[in-house]
Parts: sequence; C-alpha cells; structure tokens
Amino acid sequence: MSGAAAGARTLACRLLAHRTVLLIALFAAALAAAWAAGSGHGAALVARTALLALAAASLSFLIGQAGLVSFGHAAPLGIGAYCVLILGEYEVRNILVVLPAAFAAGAAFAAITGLVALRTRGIYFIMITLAFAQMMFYVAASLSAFGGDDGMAIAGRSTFFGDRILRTDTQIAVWAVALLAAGLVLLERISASRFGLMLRTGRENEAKLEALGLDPFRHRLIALALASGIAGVAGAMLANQVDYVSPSLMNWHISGELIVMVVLGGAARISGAVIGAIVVVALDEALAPFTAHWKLGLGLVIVAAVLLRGADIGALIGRPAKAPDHG
Amino acid sequence: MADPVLTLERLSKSFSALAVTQAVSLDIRPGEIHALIGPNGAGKTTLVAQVAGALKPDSGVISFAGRDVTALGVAARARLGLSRVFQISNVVGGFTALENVMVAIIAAGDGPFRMGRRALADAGLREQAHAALDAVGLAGRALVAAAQLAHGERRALELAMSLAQHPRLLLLDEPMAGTGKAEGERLAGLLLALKGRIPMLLIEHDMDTVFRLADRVSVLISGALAMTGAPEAVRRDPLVRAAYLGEDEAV
Repeated sequence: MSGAAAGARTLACRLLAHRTVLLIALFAAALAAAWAAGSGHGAALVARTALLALAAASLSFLIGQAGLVSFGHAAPLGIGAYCVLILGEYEVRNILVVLPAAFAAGAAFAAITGLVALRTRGIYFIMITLAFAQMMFYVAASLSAFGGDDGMAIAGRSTFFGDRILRTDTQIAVWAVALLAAGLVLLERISASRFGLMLRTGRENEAKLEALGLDPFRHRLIALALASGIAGVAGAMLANQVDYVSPSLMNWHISGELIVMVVLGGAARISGAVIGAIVVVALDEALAPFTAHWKLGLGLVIVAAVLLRGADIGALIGRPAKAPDHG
Repeated sequence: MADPVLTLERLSKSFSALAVTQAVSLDIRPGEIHALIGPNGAGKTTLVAQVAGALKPDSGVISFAGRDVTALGVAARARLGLSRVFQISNVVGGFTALENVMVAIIAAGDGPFRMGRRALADAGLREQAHAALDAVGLAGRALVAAAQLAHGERRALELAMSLAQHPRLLLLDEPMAGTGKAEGERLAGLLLALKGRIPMLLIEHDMDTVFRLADRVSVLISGALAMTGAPEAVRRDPLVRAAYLGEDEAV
C-alpha cells in the first residue's frame, strides 16, 4: 500500500513538472505563431507576458513557499529596470553585466529591507513591504538625472559584447521565454529542496521549526533576496522591451497586480503564477480597448477565483504572530 | 555525582503584579526523569516556556549542558539538545508523518540550507525517518498526513521528531493530556523505554504516570517550588496533600 502511495506521489511530481513544461511549450508556440505571422505586436505581447510571469513566479515563491506576502514586489522590478537605464548612461550595455547587476540590485534591496521587514508577520509584513516599495518609488522619482517623475528613454538596449541581440521584438521574446523557463526550473528546484522544505515548514508552523532548532529568519531573508533578484532581471528585460524606464514601474498598482496573478493561478505551485499572468495580460488585451475601467472586471474575476479556491485566502491574509506561549 | 544536565537558579517571572514564577531552583540529573507537578495555575507552563527559551525570565539563571543559556532563544537551545514536546500536539498537519520526521532531521542541522537535490526523495533521509517512526511504533503510519493521525499517534510522532534531534534533554509538557487509556499506556511505555538514556523534565497531570515514571518529583504551588523529593516522599508530604493531592481522592 505504501508502495502504491509512493508511486502516486512520484506520478504527481511528474505531472507537476509537466505543467511547467507545458506552459513553456505554450509560450514557445505562441512566439512561433507570432513570428510566422510576422506580428511584432504578437511577439511583444509574448515577451511582456513571459516577463510579468517571471516576476509573478518569483512572488509566488515568496507567498506560496515562504508564506511571505510581499506587497512591494514592484520595487525590485523597477530597480532592475533602473539598472538598465543607469548603466546605459555610463555606456555599460553588455547583457552579461546588466542582468547580473539587475539581479544583484534587486536582491540587495530585499536583503537590506528584509532585515527590518522580516521582524514582522502577516498584515504588518504586507504593510512594511508596501512602505519600502513606496520609498523606492519616491527615490526613483527624485532622480532628476534619470528623468525624475517622468522617467526617461534608455540609451540603448542591452547587447552581447556590442552584438545587438535584443534588436527585434522576437529576439526579446526569445530571451524572455528562455529566462522564464530558467526561472521556473530554478524556483521549482529550490522549492523541492531541503531549503524549500524548511521554508514551507516555517510557513506552516514557525514555533515548531524553532523548537526543532531552526530559526527561519535566514531562510526567509535568502528567499526574499532570491525572489527580488529574479524580479530585478524581469524588470531589466521589461526596460529593454519598452526602451523606457519610469518610476511608475515601482507603483504599488504593479505590486498589487503581481499578487493578483499569484492568487488567480494559485500559490500552491510556482507555475500557477504563470497562468495568472497569462489571464491578467489576456484580460488586459481583450478588455482595455473597450473601457478604461476594465480592472473592475478583473476585480470580479478575482472575487470569483478566491471564492472558488478558498485555500489561498489564508496565504493572503497571513497568519497571526506567534501564538502566545503561556496559557 | 555527575553534573546536572539542566539547572534553574532562582528563576523569577512576573506578569505585571502576578508573580507566576518565584525563585524556582531545580536541577535535572543525567538519566533521570524529573516530574514537575502542581495544581492548575501553579505556573507550570510558564516555567516550561522559560526553560525552552520562548519566555525570558525576569531574573535567575538557566544552565544547560554546562553553559549559561539564559540569553539564548528557542532555536539556539534546541540546537544544544533541549527538545520540547508541546502540550498541544505540534506537528505540520499537511505533511505526512514521514515528512514531519524528515523536517525534524533537517532542521536539527542536516543541511537545512541545501538547495540542490529533492529533499523528500533523499533515500538516506527517508531511511533515517522510517527508523525514527519505527522506534515509536508508527512504522505503518508513515505516509498518513499528520492531521489524520489519532491524538496519541500525533504525540508519538512528536516524540519521534524530538528523538531525531538527538536530544540531551526532553522537555515533555503534559504528554498524556487528552490521550485515551490505551494510548496513554503506549506513550508511558515509550517514555519508560527511553528512561535512563535521555533525561526528561516531565510536566504531567496524571499522577499514575508521574509516580510510575519519575525518579524525583518537584511540586510547584502558586509559582514557588514547595518541595522536591522521591515520589514516595512527595506522596506522603502533608503540605503537598493539602495543597494539591487532596483535590484528587484517586491518589
């Protein structure tokens, strides 16, 4: 009997990996179709979706695995974008420098703010991450050398040792899909590892984990830095795609939209965020031409999704602080 | 006599005007089961929380395994070998029994930061966890979600998780609470089997268990230690009888 259960388990694991493979194949097919049709808009849409999905997947890692509902994930996204802008102004455009720099900057922001934010739990964590992101928003808006409030165009897209590898929408989309695939594999791998298991245990039962000898703080800090680094990479690619960087990328709306993607697709699995991203971008594309208030419709979709899948509400509302120990 | 594993020296703790722990001093010797009894509200749980590190005493010193641990937190004390079994069964309900033990092994220091291989597919880890479950009689329940286990089984699981830490002291907070007759019997058997190997501080309401397991008994009344002695001496003590045992004619 235990053999059968174990068999079912490995099969379930395979299917899970399968879903990720399936989603990447879907992106590749959409990209191929856009390329065959010669549709620049189509390729741009694929690229945008893949990059938002990458950012959402990194947030799903935080929410679903670590139980950390960050309401400030737009900050590392924007920081990654500003890396492209600022480095570009100094003639640094090599993608092998720009993307690692975006990762490092996003991760560093999270590591520093995390030292404070991770002292809080639940709703307080949501509020403090929002506050830090808003601070970054105003910092970016005050960078008058880099466009201030309005932002500014990047000096040029990232290159590979001078080779213009991101010239067309299709090229960007290929990079975006490849980065999404790499990001998903990395995040799923880590989720399944001992590190990921400790994160989930900390989410489920922090007091027990401590009683077992592990303070989850460092695990959470590393998870936060990793997820924010990945969001930084996504932001850097988004900047390349639209050739423009502005503080609006760090706006709390963006943080909220990323949470919506995670909740829509379900936080139990990393790949859920990808589905959520596809749905949000598709709704945006389908409804935006008709009404500027399309997000009202999105709101209804979220309400429906949450009602149909109550489990994720717990993750969103967060858990109360540690239970009092006496009583 | 060998040095005690755990020593509490004049431990005090107050919640505003209420002194819940009053200058409590006690020690636990290697290999002994030391029971802590006392009527409801005597401050047993508060004392346990201070020993575990979840609550900071106002004054006093806690020494464990030869060092002063008063300033250390829960996780640091656990790493030194102080293992707490909670009053309310504390396992991860969504994980299977096997996974819970694997979590315990990893958290106790077996590569908790490793990011490479799949944790739950690790054959060595699974084998260790199976052995730990076997030792507490849960071999056949390894793949059952912890939330689906019977109450007594969850307590046994928690014990298995504690043992996976290779503890130098078990802190047992009312292990028999809420267990049925047969379950309690089984748990007492498990603890008896460990007696002599791992010292225990046993907080327990059930007097049969206490007198059966304990080498020494300390009595806590209104936050202060009334006496410490052999079970028979405690049972006969008139003060203890009046304050506590008298409540319960069964004794």
